[in-house]
Amino acid sequence: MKRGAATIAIVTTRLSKERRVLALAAAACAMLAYLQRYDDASARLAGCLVFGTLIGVAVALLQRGAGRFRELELCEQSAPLFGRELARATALVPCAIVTIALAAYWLVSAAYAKPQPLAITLTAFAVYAGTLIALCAGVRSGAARVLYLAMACAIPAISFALAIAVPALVPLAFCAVIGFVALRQYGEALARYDPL
Amino acid sequence: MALLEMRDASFVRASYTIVAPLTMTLGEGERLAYACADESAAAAIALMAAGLVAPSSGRVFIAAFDPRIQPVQVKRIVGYVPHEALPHDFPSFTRYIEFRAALWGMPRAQTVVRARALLARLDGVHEAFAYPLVGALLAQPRLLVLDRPQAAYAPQILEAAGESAIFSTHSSARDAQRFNATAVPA
Repeated sequence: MKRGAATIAIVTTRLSKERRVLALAAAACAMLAYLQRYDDASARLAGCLVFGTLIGVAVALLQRGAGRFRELELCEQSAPLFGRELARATALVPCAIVTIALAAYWLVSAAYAKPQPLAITLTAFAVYAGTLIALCAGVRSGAARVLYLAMACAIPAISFALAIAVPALVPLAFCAVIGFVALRQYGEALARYDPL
Repeated sequence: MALLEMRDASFVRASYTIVAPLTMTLGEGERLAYACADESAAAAIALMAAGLVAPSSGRVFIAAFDPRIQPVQVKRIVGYVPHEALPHDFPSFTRYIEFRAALWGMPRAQTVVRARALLARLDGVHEAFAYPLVGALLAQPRLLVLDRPQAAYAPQILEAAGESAIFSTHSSARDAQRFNATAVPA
């Protein structure tokens, strides 16, 4: 109950401060869906994967960038929460934003061509995995940050290649495992995070 | 047992020493205003004293807990008030208090009532400083850490803090003196 209340408080507070980013991400995804071609399902999937992941990476980096949430972060850091609890709560924010952005994409594209449920699921899994890896980049610096960003950007390409080459469950399982590991990493990094 | 203990705690960032090795202790209910060399040193010492930043070398203990090993236990003991104001993150005082109540696992309605009572005791203190101070005092911390508080507010801060031990950092000796003079009447 108490932990749930902390998570809800962090998510709602951060989301209320990210309304503009949320609107921009949803509008950009809807625009992409409108402009994309509909006679090639593979191209559509690839476009959504790449664009969704890029939005996820951008939103994830904004969570701990440029002192936007400096006071809020200090408040969260000084609360008696474990790193993993804080990680789960703060990871929900970019995931919620990309979920809405992807929903905007698939809603607009549904007006032109019927979307495949598997494509929607794979897009969501891959974008979440990329976003969670990008969150890890946000709490690191130097070469480690670049490496995490490169890994986040590689997720849509790997997911797409797997979706083409192997049965559908494999890329989903791949993204789920990567996302889980990234969230664990983020929690551990956040526990050692230095707000200075 | 010391409530706050620093043993040769230093803070170094990019080969630049911000805080030289510092050793000090603070007991239950004691109050100490510490004058630092500059603002970055004051901020770093306050964050180390609150257990939010690990020292580059040396050790910090809060009620015998090591913040690196038992951060949650430490954060239940410490209330930290940052130097920066908290003006725009929350639409109202009540929303800010509800946020803190949720994070600290306190009952929402009772916490808001308690916060309003605390705020009333901080008469004359600007809300940008009063709000974070009230937020830090909500969980009734044994140790209150203040990063560069306004010396002009010393009487109100000390009155609102009650029995809590207070450790404050200051970027000038005059501010620290003023705080100490209020804390320990001659």
